[in-house]
This record gives sequence, C-alpha cells and structure tokens, in this order.
Amino acid sequence: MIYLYAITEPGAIVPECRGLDDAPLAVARSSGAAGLYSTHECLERRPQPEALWRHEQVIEAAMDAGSALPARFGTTFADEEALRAALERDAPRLAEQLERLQGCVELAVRVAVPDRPEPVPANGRAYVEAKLSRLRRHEAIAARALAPLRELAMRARSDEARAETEEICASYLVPRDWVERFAEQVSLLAAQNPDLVLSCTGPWPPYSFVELEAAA
Amino acid sequence: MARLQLRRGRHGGGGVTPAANPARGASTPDAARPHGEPRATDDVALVDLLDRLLGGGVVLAGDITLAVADIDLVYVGLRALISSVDSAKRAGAPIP
Repeated sequence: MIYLYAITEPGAIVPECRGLDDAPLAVARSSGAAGLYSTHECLERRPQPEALWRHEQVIEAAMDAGSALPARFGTTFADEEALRAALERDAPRLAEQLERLQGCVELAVRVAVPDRPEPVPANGRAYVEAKLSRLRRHEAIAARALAPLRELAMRARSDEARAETEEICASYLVPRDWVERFAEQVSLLAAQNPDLVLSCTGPWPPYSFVELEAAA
Repeated sequence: MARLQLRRGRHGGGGVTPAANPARGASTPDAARPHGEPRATDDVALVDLLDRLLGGGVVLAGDITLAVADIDLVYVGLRALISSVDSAKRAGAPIP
C-alpha cells in the first residue's frame, strides 16, 4: 500500500527526508498535480506523536520546495495507479488550490478567558446552560480581542473550542512573509489584554484551509 | 494574566517568535529551520497539530483508516499546557 503526505505541483521534486517508518518518498504525477507518498508492506496507522510529526515534517519539506497541500493523516491507496487515478479525477480543483495557497501557512491562536464566580448549577440542565453561556461569553471576548489579526491574514476561521480548558481557538491563513508581523501583533494583543492568556503555534501547513472532500 | 507563547515544538523545528529569528528578512521561517535531531515535543503544539492532521488536510478519495480507539487515548493522554512564560522560565523549561 502507499501512504499519502501531500499534493504538490506536477513537476515537484522528491524531498530527501524519509517518511513514516523511515520509508523513502516518491511522487506520483498527473497532469494537474502530483502526490507525495511512501510505500509500505504494512503500516500501523495510529496517530502516535512520532508518526504525526513525521507526516508533518514531510509536508514541510514539500512546502520548502514549492506549493503543497497537506493530506489528512492516515490516507492510503492500494498502489500508485490508484493514487494517480484520484489525482487525475480531481486535477482542476487541486491545481486551483495549489495556486491559491502557494506561499501561505497557517497559524493557530488560542484564547483562554479567566473564569468568574458563578453560582453552582442546581441541576444537569442548569449546568449545561451555564456552560453554553460561558462559551458564548468567551467567544465574544475572544472575537473582540483577536479582531486586529484579521487584517494580517488572507482568511480566518473559528475552530471548535477546547472541551477541557474552554479555550477559544482560531486558525489564520497567512502569507509566509507576514508571519513575523502576525506574531508581533499577537504579542501586542497579549499586552493589551492582560486578563487573557493568548497562545499561538505555527507556522503550520494550511490544513484548515484546503477544501476537504474530493469527489468519491 | 496574559502571556504569549509563540513557539513551535517539533522535531528539528524552530520558533515563530521574532526574537528567535532576528536575522530573517523576507525569507520564510521554515527555510531557516534545520531538519535535525528530535526536540522535546510540546504539548500545546502537538494538540494543535493533532486537530489539524486528523480534522483538516485534503481528503483524496482513498482509504482513510485510523485506529479509532487510539485517537481517544491520544487525546486523553495530552494536556493543553498553558503557563506564563515567566513561570515556565522559573521551572527551568526551555523557551524556544
């Protein structure tokens, strides 16, 4: 079977780094796009940290060399022919995305809003309602605090709030050249909002800004 | 209390923090990053990565199979680490 890391431009070179289980990388080429993959006899597709970072590392190597769309972790095909067929089928959409996302990275921002004293919920329903109300309040506070970041991104999207910590999360699509300015703005916002805890990680490949579903 | 954590823990990775990459002009942060020895993984970065790897990315019509039970275990095993840079420094943790 083969394991897919990224969609690249048709003429992309194969990065030198290794893939999962240290397998060598290869490229399957179609007219509009290519697929960066590795071949395996058998593969344990568990999302363990080592495998996740390796998958990520391969995508970053591909992005160093040109435009690349990150594949979702765990994507496999029977063989190179199957991958090439899928690439051919989706070539126009993939080519359009490769062009649109060229030179862009993703930044992940989180906002933790401090708890304020609340009455103990009287029952299960009150608990859920209080949680929802807290979430809405946190979302509003975070949206106000992060508004200036919108100017420094091509696109922005809200993500699922973290269940455990109730942090508000957002993703930003940012041209590589703007990353430092974006980081400086996050620093500034943290200083301006001393009661909030801001966190920013990245740059990541634009996982959240690719069109997800391909035609079956 | 607001503290900023701009960093990226990954194997061989560098940070987003401008202070960590002062000489970069218009070049990309990624280009300056060496692909070297693994570093200690960073909990927050790993969780951010997990969300994106498992929930985002292109889904090309192939087989996507994951050991579903293990996803729960991976999430349960992670803690989103939010601490001030100050307290992390006091604890002796390396700040990229």
